[in-house]
Amino acid sequence: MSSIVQKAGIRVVLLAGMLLGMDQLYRHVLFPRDLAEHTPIMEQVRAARDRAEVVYLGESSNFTFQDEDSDKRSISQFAAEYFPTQRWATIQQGALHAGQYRQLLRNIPADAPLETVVVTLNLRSFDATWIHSKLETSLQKSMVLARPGPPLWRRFQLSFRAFDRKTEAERAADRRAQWLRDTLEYPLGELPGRTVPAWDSAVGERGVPGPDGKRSDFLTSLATQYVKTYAFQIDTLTNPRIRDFDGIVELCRDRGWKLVLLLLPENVTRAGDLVPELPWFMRQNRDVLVARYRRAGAVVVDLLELLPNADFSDQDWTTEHYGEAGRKQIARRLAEAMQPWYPEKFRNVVYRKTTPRIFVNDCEGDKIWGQMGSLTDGRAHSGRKSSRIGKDRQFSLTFSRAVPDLDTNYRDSVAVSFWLYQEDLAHRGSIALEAGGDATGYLWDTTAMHRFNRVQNQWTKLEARLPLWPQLPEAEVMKIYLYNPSEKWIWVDDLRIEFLGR
Amino acid sequence: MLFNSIEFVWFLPAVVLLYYLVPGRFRWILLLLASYTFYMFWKVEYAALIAASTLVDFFAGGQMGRCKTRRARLPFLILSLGSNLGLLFAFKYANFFSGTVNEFFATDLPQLDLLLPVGISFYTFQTLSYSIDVYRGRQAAETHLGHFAVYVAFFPQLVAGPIERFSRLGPQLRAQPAFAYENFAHGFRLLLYGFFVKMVVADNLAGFVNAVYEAPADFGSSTIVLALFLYALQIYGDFYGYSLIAIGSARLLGIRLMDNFHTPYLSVSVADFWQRWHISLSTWFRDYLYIPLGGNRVALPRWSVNILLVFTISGLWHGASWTFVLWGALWGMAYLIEKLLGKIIALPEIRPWSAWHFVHALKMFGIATLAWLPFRSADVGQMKAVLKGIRDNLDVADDLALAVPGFVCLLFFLFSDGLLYNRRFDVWIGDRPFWLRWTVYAALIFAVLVFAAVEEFPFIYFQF
Repeated sequence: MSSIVQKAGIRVVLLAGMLLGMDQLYRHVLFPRDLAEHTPIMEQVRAARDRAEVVYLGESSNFTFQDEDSDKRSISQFAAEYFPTQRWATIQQGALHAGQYRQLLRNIPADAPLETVVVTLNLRSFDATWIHSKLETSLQKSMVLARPGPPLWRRFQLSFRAFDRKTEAERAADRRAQWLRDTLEYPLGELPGRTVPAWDSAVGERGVPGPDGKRSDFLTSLATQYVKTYAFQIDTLTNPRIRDFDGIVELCRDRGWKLVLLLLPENVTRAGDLVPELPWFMRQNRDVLVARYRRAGAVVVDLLELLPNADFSDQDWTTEHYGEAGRKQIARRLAEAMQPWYPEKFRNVVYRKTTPRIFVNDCEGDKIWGQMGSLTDGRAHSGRKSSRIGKDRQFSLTFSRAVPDLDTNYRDSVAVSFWLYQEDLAHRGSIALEAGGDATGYLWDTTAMHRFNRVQNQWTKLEARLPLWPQLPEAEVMKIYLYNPSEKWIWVDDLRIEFLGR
Repeated sequence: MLFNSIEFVWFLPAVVLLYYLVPGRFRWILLLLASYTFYMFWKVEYAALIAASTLVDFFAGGQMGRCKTRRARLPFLILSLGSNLGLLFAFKYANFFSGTVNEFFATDLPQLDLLLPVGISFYTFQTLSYSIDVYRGRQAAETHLGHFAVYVAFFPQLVAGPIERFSRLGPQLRAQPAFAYENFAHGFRLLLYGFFVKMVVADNLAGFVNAVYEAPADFGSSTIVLALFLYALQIYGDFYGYSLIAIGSARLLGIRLMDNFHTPYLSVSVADFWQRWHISLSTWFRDYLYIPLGGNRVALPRWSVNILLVFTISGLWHGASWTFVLWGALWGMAYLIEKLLGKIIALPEIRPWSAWHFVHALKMFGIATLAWLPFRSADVGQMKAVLKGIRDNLDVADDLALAVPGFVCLLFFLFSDGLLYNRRFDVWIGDRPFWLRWTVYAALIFAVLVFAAVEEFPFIYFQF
């Protein structure tokens, strides 16, 4: 028996020595490559650790912009502009939440030059949809190499999938179970349903009327989405995000960092229009978070109701994606909240009001233009869809804008470009410019596509610069689209419209 | 619970530790609890199916044990066959059957919304072998329900075999082996090599193969052909790796499971291949289908039909799809052609490592690769798309960088299977000098830790 113990002992020691050597080999030779491949966000963390005085942690709200934005910088970049002598760093990735922020922050030691941590406090990240999101598994996987411990140990955890790796079906089941479990308390009246599924189905059955007073399937579907997203009440004892944010507060306190929690704007106006009871829940949750974290010593910048509907990029979904004006407003409020800490470094920034003059649509259906029914997924230059016109559908995806919203310096002409696929040159496709109003009457010009392009059976780019009417400034609405009143189909994709000045 | 998961990494040592701490007479309880826990990681409800199968077969076996004649035992055999095959049919084949009938006869038979229980084909075949053996009088009926339940659900081989016979596994489960260093040495070696072959070799090929099969139109002809060859290596690595982990896990508990692979891609004929590939299933079909149909003792036409039947049913055993039927039928035809040609042309004896051996091994690798095409395809449409891609995509550019890991794996298998020809890794490595042994261990450990694929690719045979 003692010989077995001796034999096994020698092997255990040998194995331990081997593992230590392997860890060194891996740490210096392969770990950097693995980090870059599987946890690219660690590169941002490293940059923040080495030099940042302020680090901003956010999800897609920070970096998502609209094609129309003349300044496409992120919220954190706008905010950093208020502190030109201060070193800012951003750690950002789509769908990140407090669980990951906390894990990433742990990689920044107390002796780093960091002074202030800004974390987006996204109300939606507390709801069941996000907590049980199908993106969670890949996010969890991407964070394994960011965990504490020797690199070889972290890679072992990745190889053997030591992370929360539920399937999409399991997460969907968990989400539904939570929705059914959590009953909603509403003191101002009777809710159409006490749980999300009940409320959701009540809204679906009742329907939401469109501008014509009839049931609008689009608005009804959007309303149910709002219910699924915002109909919840944060339980501070069980909600996992609370635990994560508490951890962030504690970590910042331990390491001597100032903490700003940026409670992001939600589209409260739209929510109220679609489902009148919802804003009450949004405000109640906001109050819970603000009170909790102010009590814990963090600065909470409450921007829940800062922005009107027009500043939200996604009009057909619930997101915290903002246009340029919205991002600038958020950045200003953040900078103002930090100003008392850094009065010497703060410099006021005044942005000139800009009006977008470039408009694009990739025909994937994410952006709401007119004639969405022309979108088809049979053929595409990019992505999966294009706008198909001809036969009984003569109008392509249509750009429409109130003329007063167009920049007064850029109303001389318009450059229209798009990708065209034509099987048969016998079509009568044209680029149509349309405007109208009481002062101008009806204005309509078309330019035949054949003038520019006669290539068949392949995607080719068509570019045209077309003059606008001198009386356009007096018109009320301007529309640009492609028009094909023939029996031959044509497909167009990746539309770009740029208004030009003299 | 997947073998290549963190849960198993903790589960196995815990079970092994407890196994040697628990008094021998209570070990069956531990193994039963462990086995059901292991299985319930997939879906708790389906453990009831195993329990039901266990109870029925235990009852049927017990009743048959009391009968003196085969005639008297027959009703209980029918009970066992009916319940096991009924379960298998309901969960695995009912939708295939109703779908086929609907398609051919324009009927409207309903489709069941059932998830295929993991490993159902394996454990039903295992219990069936017990019932048939008891019926034939070759096996005494087990009188201890606990031991029998462990035989049906023994976790290392529950979900994908090796399909064990009661005569081999039953007595080992009943025995109370003491801790033996030798078992641990062999067990760890098998686990290490199994993890390496599955996680480093097979899983690193899976991403490329999956991408090609999902969209063959996007790849050049030679890339698609390469993917076919690499799938042959992937499925070998996947199933071979699984089997080694299963055998190694059992060995840590002092239990020896049968080998499932003997370097199959070095086989020289179809018959040889099927004595080296998924041996536990091949021998099952031999003993419980081929021989009862008459074996070699029937006339040539009848024998040919039997061969085709056995291979086709074997294909259907893998999955309820025409692609599996085709896979089985292809092997059956290859087997027949080889045997019939052998009657006409007397081939010289093939000595191991002779030039002829290489020629025949290449031939067999080619046949196997071709047969894997329907096996891998999700349906006939996908199979056609792959063939169409090979025919039509001659002008699509090939990315040669994709071939590199494939060739590395090919070289690995040539080298390792060459070294291990007719031997198992644990035995081969055990005969090497200490320094070489530990150098190989170090290389394998490092590879498993650092080069394992990061994507999750469940064992291919778990779906059967």
